[in-house]
Amino acid sequence: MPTLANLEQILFWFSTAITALLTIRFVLNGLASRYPWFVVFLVLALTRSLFVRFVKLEPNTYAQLFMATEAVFWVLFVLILLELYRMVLAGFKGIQAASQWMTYAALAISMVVATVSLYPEVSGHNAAKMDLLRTFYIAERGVFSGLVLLILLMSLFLLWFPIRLPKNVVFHSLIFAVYFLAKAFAILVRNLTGHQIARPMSLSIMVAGLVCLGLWLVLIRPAWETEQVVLGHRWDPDEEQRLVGQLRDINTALARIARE
Amino acid sequence: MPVATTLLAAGLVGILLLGLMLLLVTRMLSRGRSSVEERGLSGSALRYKPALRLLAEDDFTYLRSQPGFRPGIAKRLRSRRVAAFRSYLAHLEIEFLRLHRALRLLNLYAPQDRPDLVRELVSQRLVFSFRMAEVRFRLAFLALGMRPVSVQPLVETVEKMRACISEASANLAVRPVVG
Repeated sequence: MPTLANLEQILFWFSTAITALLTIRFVLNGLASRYPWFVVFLVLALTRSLFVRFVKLEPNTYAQLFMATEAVFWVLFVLILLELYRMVLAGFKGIQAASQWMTYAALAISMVVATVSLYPEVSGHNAAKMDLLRTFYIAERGVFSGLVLLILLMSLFLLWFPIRLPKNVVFHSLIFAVYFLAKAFAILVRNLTGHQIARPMSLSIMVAGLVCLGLWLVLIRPAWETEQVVLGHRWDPDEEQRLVGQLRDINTALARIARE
Repeated sequence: MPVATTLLAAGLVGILLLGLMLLLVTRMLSRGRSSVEERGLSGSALRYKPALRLLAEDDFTYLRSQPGFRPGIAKRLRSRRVAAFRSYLAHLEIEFLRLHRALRLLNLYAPQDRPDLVRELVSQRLVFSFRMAEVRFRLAFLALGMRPVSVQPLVETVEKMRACISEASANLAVRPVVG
């Protein structure tokens, strides 16, 4: 029966191999130029994994390194998502201002909601046990929860407009959502139940990470990168005004119906 | 709150979020297969004349004057007519949404930034949803036999809306071509 340590070793080497393979694949097939921040994340994750594996560190030093690099990853995740949506929406001049507004509004809303959701972990008896590492884990759970909400809000915005999305964008968002959700839940369990199950929870995070890496490897392909749509009809601004007027007439009429 | 309850609640929220995400992904991918095409909102020629009479009281007044009239007859007739009018409202909603979608498409492919049009689209959609809910709510009272003062203006207004939509649909022919 393999021990936890054995399982960690196996998972570590599988994750490292797939991360390296994914990085190479992105660089070789040109996707690195489309998703630069994602490649930066992969390279940094790989570097950190190999560094802590082969360099002996004191526990405190390891903890500090872990927290510092995780904080960098948080920023990278936000940049990755913003890069993704900016890329999708860049070609649509008509909704440029609305896209920017929506992106920042979604970021703000998701972070506020995520912060509020931290209440169970910081309230009551939990408040007495706060130290730097515990505070960091709570903040991390908040960040990942916020990132899931950000993906959901932006997906709803993209669906509202009849934008034809490349499959890569759809899968990229989904895999990240699954990854952030899994990490957020595992961290929440660890935050609420204490250090006794920290190691099994870390193992579950490794498993989730490995699954997501596998999905990126399989589902992100150069052929699914672009969807070209050309509008074959030149629109008359007067027609646009008339249509807007029709919508307003409908709503005015509905208001009269309701009053009657 | 006990830990188990918190974890259960968090788990349920997580499953809900994941389900929502999968639903969104399915819709995004299915949109990709059908392509962004509007084949011309030529507008089905919904017969509106019968709808004029659907909520009118004339028929009920006539029925009450007939020998053998029972309140149950009027109730069943009113119920069927309200159902028919609801069906008409459903068609109206479909037409509105098609028109709205066409304008969103227009907004998307506009040569310059149009935040005003985005605001208009959001505003119209919210107002329409609210107004439709309000009409259906009042229709529910009608179904229970509590009549509004007069339904003739309501019927005429809806006919005017229908004419607006048909006119707009006839001129709307956005045909993006997949390149």
